[in-house]
Amino acid sequence: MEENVSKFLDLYPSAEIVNAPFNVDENMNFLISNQWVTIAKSKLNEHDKFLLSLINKEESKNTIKNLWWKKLTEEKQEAPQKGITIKVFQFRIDKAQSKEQSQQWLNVFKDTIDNVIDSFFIGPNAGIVIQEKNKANVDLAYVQQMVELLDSDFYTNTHMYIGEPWSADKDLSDIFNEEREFFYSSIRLKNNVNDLSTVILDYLIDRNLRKSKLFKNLHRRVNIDMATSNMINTLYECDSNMAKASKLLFVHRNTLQYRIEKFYETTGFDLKNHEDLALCFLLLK
Amino acid sequence: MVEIDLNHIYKKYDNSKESDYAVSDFDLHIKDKEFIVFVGPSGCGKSTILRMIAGLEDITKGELIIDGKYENDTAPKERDIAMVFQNYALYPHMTVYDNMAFGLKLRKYDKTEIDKKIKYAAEVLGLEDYLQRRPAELSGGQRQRVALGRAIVRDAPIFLMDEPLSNLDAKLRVSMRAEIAKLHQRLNTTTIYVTHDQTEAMTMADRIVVMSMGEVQQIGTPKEVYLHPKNKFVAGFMGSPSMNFFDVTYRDGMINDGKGLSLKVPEGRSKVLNERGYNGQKVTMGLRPEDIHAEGAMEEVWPNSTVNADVIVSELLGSTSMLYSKVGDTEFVAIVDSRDYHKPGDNVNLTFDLNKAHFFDDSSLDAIY
Repeated sequence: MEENVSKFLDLYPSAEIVNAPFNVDENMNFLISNQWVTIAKSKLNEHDKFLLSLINKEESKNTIKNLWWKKLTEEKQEAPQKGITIKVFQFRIDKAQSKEQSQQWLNVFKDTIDNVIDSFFIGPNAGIVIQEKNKANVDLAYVQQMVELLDSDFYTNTHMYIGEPWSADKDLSDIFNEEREFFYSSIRLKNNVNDLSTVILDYLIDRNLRKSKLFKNLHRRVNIDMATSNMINTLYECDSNMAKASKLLFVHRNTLQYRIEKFYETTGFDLKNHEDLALCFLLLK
Repeated sequence: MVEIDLNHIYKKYDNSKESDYAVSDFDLHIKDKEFIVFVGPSGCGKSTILRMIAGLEDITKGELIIDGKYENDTAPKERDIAMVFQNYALYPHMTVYDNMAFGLKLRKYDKTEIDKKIKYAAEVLGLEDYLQRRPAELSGGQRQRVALGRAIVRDAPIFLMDEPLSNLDAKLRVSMRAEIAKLHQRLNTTTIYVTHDQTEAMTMADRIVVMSMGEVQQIGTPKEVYLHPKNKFVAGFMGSPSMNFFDVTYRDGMINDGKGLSLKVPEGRSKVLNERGYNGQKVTMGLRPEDIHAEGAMEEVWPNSTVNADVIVSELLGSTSMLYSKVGDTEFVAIVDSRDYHKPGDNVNLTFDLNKAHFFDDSSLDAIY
């Protein structure tokens, strides 16, 4: 074991070595000498948490020499290419058999995406792809297909977050810091590949509402059973189109109507009303 | 020879409620070389089971046995399984040949063997002339065939297909359906095919597993599930257009929906309803559109099962016509011979062949036999 990792484990015996950042809501994750280590926040006092968060940033800055990584993590660092707009793809490859296999995965992935200007690993299985933003937008569905294709060939399980296009200027490091958090939040979502649009609701709920007593109680009220959750999610996805939703749920339109009325009687939320439907959808997240 | 046993399988996701299972008590024996189709609406758990068989999802409870071997904890790579996904994605920068070869190269197959496998798959799929083309130069159907080819070259005895045709247009779906059926006959692999399309299930399967809300509703041959549905869900899901359902009260050999529909139930059927204690009870009567007739001859045979209906919409489909009709406030659809075509607004006598009717318990929704 690398000396720094070993020292850390001596200082914090409840810390564990992991392949990639783990349970970011409840744990702090550190990249120490190219090795991810995780520790439950509940085991740390506020003082330790603060100090460790500073050490973590410094450590990753020092161990990864890539110039784009430096630009992404240090405000004062010059961009390797000036005056360009970039998108940052963050990824984590689980179940890879070796470092070489992860590298091979990345090499093939790069070839499926246009205008990649750099790619590198920041941990054993986690890495970054930098794309220079061109006119064509990268389609989330396309990236999802490519990741699924690669995972089926490599027998891996990859999570990816596609960042927004940003100028490589002084704000980049702060923005990237937030995108890191979006990526960590996205790891527990159903889809393996996400972007801001698919992450933001869960992220905001986690941040602001998850611990609220009001939210918890309302969640319990609407989380009746799987059939009801399925109905709410389908209505939301179909923009309240009853015909479309009843077809997807395979129930008669009148049955769906009846279930909506029953739900209103039980909860007081009218799923035919857009605001109520959106609220119930969020409560189930 | 490959047989698969799914013994009382359950799946629960981490963030779901204690009692909420995405799959509950799924129990199935799949025979060697069988083509089995899991069918059901979205969210019914069919893809989850497929992914558990492939090792892409953990099994919460129950046993997965492949050829007598317990496989719950076997890594996906170690399972001898080939999978075709809904998206027929290919590497855009590789030729068809390289797309098919890629997985084998990763598994360190030697060049000659790779070449042999690809030539065989290309011959089976009619792709010999396209091997040097890139995906962008192929049609949707050709790309789907290459995706199938990527699975064929793996030479696995088990094929898992997750809605492989749902991204294709309607015409192509029909032709690919036949191609997959032919492919199965030729390769003789045990195949599990997932779809939400009951027509695909009916036309391709040796046996169908109909699912809803994570539970098996019925397992049987296409003919069994179509002719003898176990409950109202299966009756409504299998068949296009769907079975007509009428909420009726059964009393003394007659059914009445209180909205203008009153029909005599044939003796044999009323005997069963009487014996089961349904006299004077509410039941659901189901009748397939093809069991409602517009021919005068049928009216003569069953005068007490004939109603005078208004045609609301009529669709001429070629040899048959669909008549969306109404009696009082009761609406239903009939498939009739095109010679019996009627235009909207026509008044027509329609005979219900109640020998073919299905009756369902009003609360359990189970079929009454």
